[in-house]
Amino acid sequence: MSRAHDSGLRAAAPTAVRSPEEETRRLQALVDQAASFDLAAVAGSSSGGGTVRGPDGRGVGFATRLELRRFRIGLAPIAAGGPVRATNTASELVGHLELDWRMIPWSLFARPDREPEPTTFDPSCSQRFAMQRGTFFLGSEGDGFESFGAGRTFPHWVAGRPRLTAAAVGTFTRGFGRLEGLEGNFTLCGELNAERGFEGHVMVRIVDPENRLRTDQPLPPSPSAPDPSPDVTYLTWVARKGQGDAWENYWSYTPEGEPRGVNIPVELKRVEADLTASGPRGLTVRNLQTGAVVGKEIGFGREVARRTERNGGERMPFQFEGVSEYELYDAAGTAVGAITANFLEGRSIQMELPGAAGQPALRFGYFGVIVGGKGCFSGGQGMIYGTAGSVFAPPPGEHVITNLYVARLYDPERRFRAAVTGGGA
Amino acid sequence: MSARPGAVTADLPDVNARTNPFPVVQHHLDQAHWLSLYAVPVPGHPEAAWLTGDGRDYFGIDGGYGLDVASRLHGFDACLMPPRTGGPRVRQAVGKAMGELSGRFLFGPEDLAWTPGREPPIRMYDPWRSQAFAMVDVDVRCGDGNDGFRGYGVGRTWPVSAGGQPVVLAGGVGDVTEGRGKLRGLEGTFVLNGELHDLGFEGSVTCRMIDPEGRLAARGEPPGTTQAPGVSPRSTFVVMRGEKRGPDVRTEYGPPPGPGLVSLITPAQMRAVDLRTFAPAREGVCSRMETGQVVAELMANVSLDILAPPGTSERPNTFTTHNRYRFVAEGGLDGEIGEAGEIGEIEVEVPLGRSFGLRFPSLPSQPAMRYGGVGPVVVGRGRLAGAVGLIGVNSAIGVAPHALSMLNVLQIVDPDGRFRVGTRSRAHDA
Repeated sequence: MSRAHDSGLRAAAPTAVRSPEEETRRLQALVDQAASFDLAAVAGSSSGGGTVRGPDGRGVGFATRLELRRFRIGLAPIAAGGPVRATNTASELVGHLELDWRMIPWSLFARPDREPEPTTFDPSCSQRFAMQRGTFFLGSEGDGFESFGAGRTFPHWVAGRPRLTAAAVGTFTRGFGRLEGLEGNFTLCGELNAERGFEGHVMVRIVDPENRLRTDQPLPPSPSAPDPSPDVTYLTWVARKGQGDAWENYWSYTPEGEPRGVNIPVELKRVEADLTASGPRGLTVRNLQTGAVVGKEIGFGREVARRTERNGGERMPFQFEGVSEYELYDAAGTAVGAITANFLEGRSIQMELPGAAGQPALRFGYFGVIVGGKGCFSGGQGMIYGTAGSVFAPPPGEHVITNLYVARLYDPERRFRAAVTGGGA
Repeated sequence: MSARPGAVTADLPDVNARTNPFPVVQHHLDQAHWLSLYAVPVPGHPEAAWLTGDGRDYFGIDGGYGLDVASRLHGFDACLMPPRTGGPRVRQAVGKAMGELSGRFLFGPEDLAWTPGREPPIRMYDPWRSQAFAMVDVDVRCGDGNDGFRGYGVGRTWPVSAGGQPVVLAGGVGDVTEGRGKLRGLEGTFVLNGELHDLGFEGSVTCRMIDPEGRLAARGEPPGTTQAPGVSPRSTFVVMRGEKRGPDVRTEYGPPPGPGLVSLITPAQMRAVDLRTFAPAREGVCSRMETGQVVAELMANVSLDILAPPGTSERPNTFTTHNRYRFVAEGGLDGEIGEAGEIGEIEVEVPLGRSFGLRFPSLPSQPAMRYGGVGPVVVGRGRLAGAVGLIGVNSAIGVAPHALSMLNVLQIVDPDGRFRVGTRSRAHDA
């Protein structure tokens, strides 16, 4: 999902005499001062589903305590003709998550300070929910954050049985311990059921200009834990702007000539994210390790609500949506498959980018549904979602972005799963 | 405006009045032919499909803000067998391909307007939410491709769960804007009801062409329908012809449903039909319909602005209807329907209805309209308890007298084939 605006942004303010390329590189480095990592959220053996019941006794939400495990997604080299494969490795326990979700009506504007009216959970249809409280405890030193967010459920039918996918975007409301004063957001995607509540994957992005959490060094491996979702495969890549005119954004126009959104092409690159809770400093996040180009995204995006003085902050983020096609290549640069995803919910929050005051910086999260697949992704079902940071001015303005994607594919036949070598993460 | 059931107020026309004799009006309404086809997405079409002409505009990614639809049109043989107490049973077969349907389904806002020639305000396709869409650049080609039409219409999706399986039901109503070949100069209405899957449309397509010259009448017997390989509809389609039981059956006004609207309580009887569309090499597309026995009683509660000027291709009128179909078993037919003869009921809501004024050159004073509508099954009872599906109506009526010439296609999502009894050839073999 490429971020797009249609109004309201200031032009980039030059801060020094630099070439455009130098300025872009500088902004990219500033955007990348963030700690991004993946977590597997697994129901503990004693947690139960944690169903919250309304006055009539019917389920209206979930209040659960989930184990958070280090989770690594390793995109394997793509062989000629595909398929695209990845290792998915859960390992050390890095914390836990106390989560309180409530189903909400479609029309409700969810807020952290307002408890929603009870809405009955119905796994047969898509519903919205508010994550009224989500407290992440990371490491053993009292680090973590409180959060608020909202999401949706999506009934799927996989290998002859129903599955209820849940995806949500959340933002920090308060950091504590070493995360005190830091801002960040997360996106989660997994499954919801009455017996176990939510289980799945959480990707977190913490803006970390003081380098409190990050390292460039490889993190020590830890013993693998049981596969939390053996019939699902997660793929990951990172989207950044390529060099040259071919990667410039441009407007999309209606037949009547009105701008309706922005066309955004980006390069997709191999990426590795990692963290540990057992480092000498406690919670330690490795800087994203970016590799070769593995594909290209072409996307259309737009904001779905007009910008006002009141939105764009944590309580009322900007809302965006879009459609993208992700084409992945083998080592020879030949396409092996493509995924089309509709990003139904995106939330972006304006931020002051340290070191680049006045730049139109954003941090954001989003999720989308896979609506089509080609090549090795033909018939694929699942979600694509992510977290990102950017500096974005409407075309022909500046666009710098690091957009970390995860594709969550239902994979009962493990077509997309690569074998783990080495036994740990 | 207010009315009590059965009352005709000074403000409202007497829809049962005999501007012309009922049989004459019925005869004129029936000067039409229905094409009944089954659309199956063209395999692989989404691989290269694009919503806009310029591949550089990523808004055009297929599946995002719309679907670039390309379906093969097959002959469709869906004949309701004499119902027995086990429930409706349809002898259903999708024959060989005999045409193509193409067009763009562009999603729009809830209050999507009828704007032929224009694209709607954009909305993203969300397969889990009910959404309105415009059917633009619709092109139907039959036989050798010379017969067909272009059209425009509006539709809606209804995501449902059938035994836990998500299904995106979809239907639409359209106006034939330009006929070709044998359809040149004919006016008509087309109705789709089926489902969206794999970024395509699969389901029933009916086209009701006003055909006073009988151009589309089949001259010979339709060929046997052999089930096309690789096509396996998830739904069972019950095709029914509706008409009044007799000239004296009255349509009554019900309680007004809202400002400017009236409610017409319309009883009708529904008959099984054997409706076959085919395209002999030298004859082109043609149709033959044989009407069978009564299989259901219909009570329709139609809401419309009866005083509105006749709808046009540019500005059709809207209507909604709540239909209750009471299916009856063999032995309870054509005469009094007793409790023992009932095998189930279906109630449908049709929120998406469009009507177009209809004039008969030889009956210039006779008001009439052709119309189409789609909507979901809301209740099933008896053997139809729990049924999930859509209704498509593609019909014409007279106003004063209120004669009916209806075709209803009831789609029941039926992955296990509970309501099917196999194909015609199998039935004959048996």
